[in-house]
Amino acid sequence: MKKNNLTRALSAALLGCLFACLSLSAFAADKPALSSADENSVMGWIAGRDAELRQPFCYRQSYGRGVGVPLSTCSSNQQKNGALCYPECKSGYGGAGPVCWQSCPSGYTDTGAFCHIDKALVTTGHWECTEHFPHWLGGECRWGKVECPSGYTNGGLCYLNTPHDPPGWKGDGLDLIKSSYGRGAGYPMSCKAGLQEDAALCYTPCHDTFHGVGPVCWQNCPSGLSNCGAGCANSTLSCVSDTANMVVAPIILAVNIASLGTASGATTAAKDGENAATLAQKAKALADEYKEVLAAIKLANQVRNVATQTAKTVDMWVTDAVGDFKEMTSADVVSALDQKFKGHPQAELWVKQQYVLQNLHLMLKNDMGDTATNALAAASSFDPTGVSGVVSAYLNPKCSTEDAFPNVRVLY
Amino acid sequence: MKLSSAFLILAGSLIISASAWAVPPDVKEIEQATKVINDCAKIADEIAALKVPEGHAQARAIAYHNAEATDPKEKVAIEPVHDQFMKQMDEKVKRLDECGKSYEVAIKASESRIDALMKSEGKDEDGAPILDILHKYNDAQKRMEASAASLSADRQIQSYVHKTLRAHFIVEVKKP
Repeated sequence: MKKNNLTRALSAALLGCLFACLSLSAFAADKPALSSADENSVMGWIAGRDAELRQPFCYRQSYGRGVGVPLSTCSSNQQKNGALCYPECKSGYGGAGPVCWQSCPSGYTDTGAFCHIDKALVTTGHWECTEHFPHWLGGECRWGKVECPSGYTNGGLCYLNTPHDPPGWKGDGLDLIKSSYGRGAGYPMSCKAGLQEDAALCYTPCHDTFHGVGPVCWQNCPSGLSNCGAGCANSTLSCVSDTANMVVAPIILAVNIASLGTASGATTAAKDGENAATLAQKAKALADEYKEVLAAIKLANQVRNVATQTAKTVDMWVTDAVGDFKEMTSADVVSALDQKFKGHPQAELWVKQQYVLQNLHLMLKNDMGDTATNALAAASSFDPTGVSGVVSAYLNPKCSTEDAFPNVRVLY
Repeated sequence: MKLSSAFLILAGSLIISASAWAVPPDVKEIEQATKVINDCAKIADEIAALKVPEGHAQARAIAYHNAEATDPKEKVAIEPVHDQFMKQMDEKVKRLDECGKSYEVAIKASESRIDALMKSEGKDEDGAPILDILHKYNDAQKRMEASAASLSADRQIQSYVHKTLRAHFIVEVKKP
C-alpha cells in the first residue's frame, strides 16, 4: 500500500536533509495529553484488553475468601457427635457415637454405659467415745463408735446404704446397666448455611464467574479458553509449563503470524465482527511496513542527516497503525477511548499514537536492542514512560476483566 | 583416743539402746498400719484432685462400645483428653486397690493389737511413747475418712473408685 511512498522517502533521505524542516503533522501534539502516571495506566488498560483478546494465555484473576472453618453442621434430623452426624436416638435414649444409650433415671448420673448413684458413697460421721484406753495409756478415748448420717452405715467409714434398682432397671443399685442399640456409622458434617465446602473446610462462596480452590477464588476461564494451571490457554495452544514464556506483545504476534502467511493471528480479533481475512491483510501490510521502519531506524543510527526521513517513515507506520487501531486492539477499546476522550479528539489521537509507538518500540527493541529507544524517540513523539504499563500487561495478561477505564485527567 | 572418751561413747550407746527398748515391739503393727493408712489416703487425695474432662460420660460410653465392637471399623475415636484421663484413673485406682489390700490386713492386725493393749497392764512412764503412736494412728484414720469422702465429690470419680472402696476400705456393709 504505502510501500512505494516509504521507499521514495527513504531514498530522498539518503540524498540529504531536504525535508529537515517539515513538521511531523501526523502526530497529535508534542505536548502529552496525559500525565505520565495517567498515560501508564491507560496504556496498561489498553494493553490488558489487547492481551486478553490476542494472547494465547492469560492469568486468572484471583482473590482470597478467608480462612476455611471446619465442617460443623448436621441436618435437622441428625445429631452432631464428635466429628460425625448420627440419626437422632429414640425418646428416652441419648447418643454416644454410633450407639444410643438409655437415659438415666432420676437420682442417677450418667457415667457412660452405666448410671451411677447420684449420692456420695462415703461421708464423714460423728465419732462417739464408747471406750477409753487404760490409765497407763493416758485414759484417753479410743473413739470406738461412729454415728453415720441417715441412709449411711458405719463400716469403719460411713457408707451409703445400697438402694434397690429402680423399676425396669438392672444393676446393683449403685450402678445401673443401660440398654442400648446401634444407630449406624454416622455421616460427615456439612457447612453452615451460606458457606461452601472444599476439602473438609467451609468457605464463603466465590463471586459469579469464579470458583474456589481452598481459600482462593479463581476466575473461571472465559469462553473459548481452557484451564491451564493458574491461567487459561486458547484451544490452539497446548497447556504446557512454559506457556507463560510464549506470551508476546499482541502486535508482534499479529505481525509475525501475518508474515507467516496465516490468518490464525486474526481469528481472535474476529470476535469484533471483522472479516478475518481483512484483518490478516492489514496485519500483513503493517508487517511489511514494519520492515521498512526497522531499516530506517537502523539507517538513522548509522548515517547522519536522515532523521527527518526516518521520522516520516515512522510517521507513516504510526498513521497506518492508528488507522487500523480497532483491528490492532478491539472495538471495545476504541469505543472506550471514544467515550473517554469525547470532545478531545487530539488527546484521543495522542493516546492511540503513544500506544502504537510503544508497541513499535517493543518490536524495534526486540530486533535492535536498546539502541531502538533513542532512535524512535528522536524520530517521533514516543514517550517511553508509558511502556511499563504495556509490558506489564503483555507479560502478565489477565483473563477477561471488568476493570473500568482508568480515571484519568485529560490535559487538553 | 583417751579412755574417758571411749567411756562416754559407750555410755551414750547404752542410753540410746535403753530408750529403744521402751517401745514394746508389738506396737510396730500399729505404726505399720498408720503408714499404710496414710499411703492410701495420699492416693485417694491424688484421685480426688483430678479434674474430670467435660463430656467424659459420653467418652466412657464410646470406650465401652469400642471394647465390645468386634469389627475395628465400628470403633470410634475417643478424644485424647478422655483417653488420657481414663488411663490415669485406671492407674491410680489400681494403686488404691493394691493399697486397699494392705489396708485390710494392716487394720485387722492393728485393731487386734490395740484390743490387746486395752487389756494389758503397764507403767505410766511406758505409756507416753505408745500413746503418741496411737494418736498418729487415729489421725491417719481421720485423714482416710476425709480422703475417702472427697472421692465422692465428683460422681464420675466416685464411679471409678467405689468398688475399690467397698472391697477394701469398708469393714462391713449392711444392706438396708
